[in-house]
Amino acid sequence: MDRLRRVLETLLNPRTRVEDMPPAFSAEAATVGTVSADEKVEQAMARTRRRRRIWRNRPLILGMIIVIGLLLVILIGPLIAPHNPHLTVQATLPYFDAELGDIVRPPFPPSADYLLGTDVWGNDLMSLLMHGARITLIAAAYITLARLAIGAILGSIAGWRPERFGDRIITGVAGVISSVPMLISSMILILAIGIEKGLWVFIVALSIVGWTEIAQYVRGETLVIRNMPYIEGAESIGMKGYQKIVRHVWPNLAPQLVTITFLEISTVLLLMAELGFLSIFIGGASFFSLDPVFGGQPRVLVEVPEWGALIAQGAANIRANTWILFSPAAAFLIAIIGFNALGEGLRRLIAEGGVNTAVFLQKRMALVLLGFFVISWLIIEATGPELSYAAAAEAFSGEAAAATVATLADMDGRGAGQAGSAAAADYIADKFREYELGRAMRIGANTTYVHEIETRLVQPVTQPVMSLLSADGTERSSLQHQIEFGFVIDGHGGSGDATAQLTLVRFDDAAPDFSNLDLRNRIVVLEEDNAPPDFVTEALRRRAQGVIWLTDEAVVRSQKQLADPDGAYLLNPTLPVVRLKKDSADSIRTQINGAPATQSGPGWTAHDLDLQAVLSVHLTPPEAVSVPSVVGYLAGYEFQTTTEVIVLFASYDGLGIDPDGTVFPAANHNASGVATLLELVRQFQSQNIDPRRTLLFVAWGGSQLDEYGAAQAFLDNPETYASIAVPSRGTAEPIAVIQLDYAGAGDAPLQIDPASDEWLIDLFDEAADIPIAVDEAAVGNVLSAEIPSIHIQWADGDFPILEDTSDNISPERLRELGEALSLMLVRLTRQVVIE
Amino acid sequence: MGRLIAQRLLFILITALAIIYFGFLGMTLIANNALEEPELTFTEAATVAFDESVTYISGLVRGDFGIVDTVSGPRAVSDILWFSVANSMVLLSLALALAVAVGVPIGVLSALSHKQWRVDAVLTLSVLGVSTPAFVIAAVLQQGGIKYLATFGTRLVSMGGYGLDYQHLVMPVLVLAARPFAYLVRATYVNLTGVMREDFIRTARAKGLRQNAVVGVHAMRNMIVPLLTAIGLSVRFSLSILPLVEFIFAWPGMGLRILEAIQDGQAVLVVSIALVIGLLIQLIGLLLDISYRFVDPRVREAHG
Repeated sequence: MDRLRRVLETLLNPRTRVEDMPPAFSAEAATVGTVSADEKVEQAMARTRRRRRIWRNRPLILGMIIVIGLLLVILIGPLIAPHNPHLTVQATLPYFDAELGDIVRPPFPPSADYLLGTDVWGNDLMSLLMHGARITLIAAAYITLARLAIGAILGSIAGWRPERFGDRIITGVAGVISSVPMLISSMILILAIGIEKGLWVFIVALSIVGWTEIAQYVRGETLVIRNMPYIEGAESIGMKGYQKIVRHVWPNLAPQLVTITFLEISTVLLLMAELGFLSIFIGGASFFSLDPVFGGQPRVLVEVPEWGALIAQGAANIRANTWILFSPAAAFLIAIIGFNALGEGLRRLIAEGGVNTAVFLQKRMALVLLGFFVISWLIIEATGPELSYAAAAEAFSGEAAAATVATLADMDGRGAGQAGSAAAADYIADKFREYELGRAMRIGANTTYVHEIETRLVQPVTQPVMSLLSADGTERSSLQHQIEFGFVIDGHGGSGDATAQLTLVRFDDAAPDFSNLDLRNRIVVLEEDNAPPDFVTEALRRRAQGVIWLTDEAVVRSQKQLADPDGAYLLNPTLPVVRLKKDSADSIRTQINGAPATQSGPGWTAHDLDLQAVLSVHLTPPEAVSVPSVVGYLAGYEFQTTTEVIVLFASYDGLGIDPDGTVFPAANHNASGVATLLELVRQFQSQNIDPRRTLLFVAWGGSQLDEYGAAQAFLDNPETYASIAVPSRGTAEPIAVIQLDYAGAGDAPLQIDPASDEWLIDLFDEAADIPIAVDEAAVGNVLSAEIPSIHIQWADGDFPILEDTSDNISPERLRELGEALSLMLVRLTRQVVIE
Repeated sequence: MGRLIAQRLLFILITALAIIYFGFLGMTLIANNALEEPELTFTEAATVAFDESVTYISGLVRGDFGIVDTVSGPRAVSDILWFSVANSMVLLSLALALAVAVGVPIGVLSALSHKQWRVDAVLTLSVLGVSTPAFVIAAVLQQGGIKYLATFGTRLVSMGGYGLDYQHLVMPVLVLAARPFAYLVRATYVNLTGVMREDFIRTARAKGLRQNAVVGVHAMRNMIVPLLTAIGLSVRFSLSILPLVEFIFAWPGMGLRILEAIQDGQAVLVVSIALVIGLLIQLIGLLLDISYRFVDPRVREAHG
């Protein structure tokens, strides 16, 4: 007991007894060189004595146990933490707990799952503490080392030439700094530099306000040392002032400084805890609330895991949920006691001559320090939510997405109004249900995933045919529906068969008079940029058999939708009207060159070509169909940001299947986008990533129709969907749209539509570790001009329409893009500030 | 003696000017940071702070601390300042008195005690006392109060708020006294055990003096200087945790006011309170230095 008393006594009184300390170079340490057998025995006994001294040094043992424990937590804490504090969030909005049969909300008190309880966000406190030890303790070490360096240098300068100008300035500044309590001065300094700038602000501020005690101590010791005989000796061999300080003053102070280092860490930790209580913590962006007890519960949102930040949360819950305060406070207390004890133990060890402090002054000490900085910096870099997000992003499975693409590509092209599209919509809705997304559509009292937009469509009954024949009737070429030509149902366009001579009608500026134009037994060929659009009616009047439009477009599609309710479609009598894409049109254009005008009139000339064509278009009567879109949401769990909605937007349907059984799979074109979307949902849900903002997942239909169906409905009135996702939380506000397609094949870099929002581009660039390029080649994909949007695609992923099968899909490409999107989404939904 | 005091007063003046200038500089920068687009460069902020300091000091010379904008309109700083200074002084003096009145005797008793467990208990407690953050003690006390209220249905003391009565003072005074108390116990114990080993104590015992006389006269006279130093340090401890304690108990003193003023950007108020605290610390240092000379002839002779 006597020993314990002395332990405590010295533990309590670390600095008043520095005179106990021996000179740095003890005689014991100097025993080197050749030794006799007797000396070996002697040395062995000395070692035993030394060991015994160490084991009897209880503060040293206690301190070592605690500090080694803390080091272990720093190194492997995040690995052994029971939960991931950045992802395993519950919800701050109250929710119904089926087991309890009651409505609950975090913070949750300590339980078997959460040994220390959770914070107000529902994060596991124990895991937070284990993650947070890194930044808090390493910061304390940095601050201490900085204080030590400043204090030792300034203190020895001041003490070396007392009462001189330098001394007066240094002691004066120290006096001024120490005349304001450190809590206040460090708080003002941190806020003045800018607390949101992170770790270095704390290091700078707490060093500036905290070096004075060490400097005053070093100054006092220097005053004593400078009168020592060995200084006189050093002078006599012509050493300069700074040499004497470096060679003689610091070495003689080293033992005490080592001790002070550990004691100072405790002081710094205590200050950090107290600052934390006033909501001044590393990276903290929020300010303390002055009335936490009576004025509700302010919540401290912390992305940097740090003990001080947890104290700040605890301060806000000091009465109701005390475990939030006591857990981090206990962590601080253990660390403070541990470092105090270690410092005191070391002091005693040194005082008893147990260690040779000369090791601290060797040159390789600089290497050790450098090593410490490098390693600690790496550890700090490896701390924080980003890594968790990255790990969670790796759960995005390219294979699973590729499998989804294959499934969707097998659904007969998912044509609007056809069975494949309905099957695809059902498939997506089933997935949404499986992943437990919220149903974003309300119909009467029910909610559903499916938003059906009514429209009227025609479908070809037989395969639409167009072939070109020579003048003698032999077939030259047969064109492919949807690829080389598409039918038109505007006006009198519609069903009909024709086999006839081709006649090009060309127009000039004069007012036309078609009275002597004879188109009997002819199929009219028109240049789209030359003919008046309503010429089809005139052609019909002139008894033409059909109309062929020559376009300069790379892609032509059959017109199946009666998009405009007041529009004129399929007027009787109908004739086959088709549009040719540029390549096919060009092959006709070569025949036109030099063909003489066979008829002419005011404003027009007609040229009979040495070509015949066969046109056959047979369409169903227009029927009302509903084009389904599938919309689900993941509600943001934070009260303030739940109304801010981020939209993932992908189209799922395609050209469908033709009567001859040709399927347009559109695997990379759009199935890849929907598959990525679905896999993102699965990854978010399986990793328990609860977004702070609401995520709206839209797989929209009608992408191949003239009017964009759901896309249009959404872009015209986005609040409707979003507001269903966040009922009674005020007006929903879409803040970002991410459009997905061409996600599964192609080449790097990722192309970004230049019309994309710059903020989103930056965010994606940060998240992606693949090169991105804002590329004109991707222009025209961004659908919304109102909401900040981004469209991302792989370069050169636009396959020929029949070759766009799931065979091309690369799971690797899906994974690369998926992981980048996942990281971007996590930041987007959790970032505190939206710029 | 006179020269020493003059020197110290000059230094106090310089300290005051430094606090004023850097206080304004800090608050200017904080206000600047709060803007979305900071308006001032550092140099401009330094100039602004200098102008504010000049204005403030010229007002101060006339005894005018200036005006501060509050929620309820502009108010004279001196109104707020003296009210909060007085409130803090009540807390500080009670806490210190309590710490000295309890801590020193406990330190003396444990230094003289032959019962080892008492010494161990006291010293362990004081280790915890200096290592535990003040807010933890406050939270523990508050929880105790809440438990008491829940168990017995009556309130022992008030858990926060303002009032110059027993009800409102107990909690903050206890929390504020904890650290000085722990420190004083330790300082008394360590110094007294040291003194008791001195030769003159043995001599006094040899003369046949009773224990009371040995301790009361010979030992305690040698304890006065280290005790005064310890009390001086205790004041600094209490002042440094004052904002925390007042914040927790919603006590309208200097500490709470300066936190509020920092948050609300009331630079003049921040500077005024920091000035008062700084001057207080400096004055206590000066008083200690002077009193050393009175109580300890060795100091007197060493410095003339």
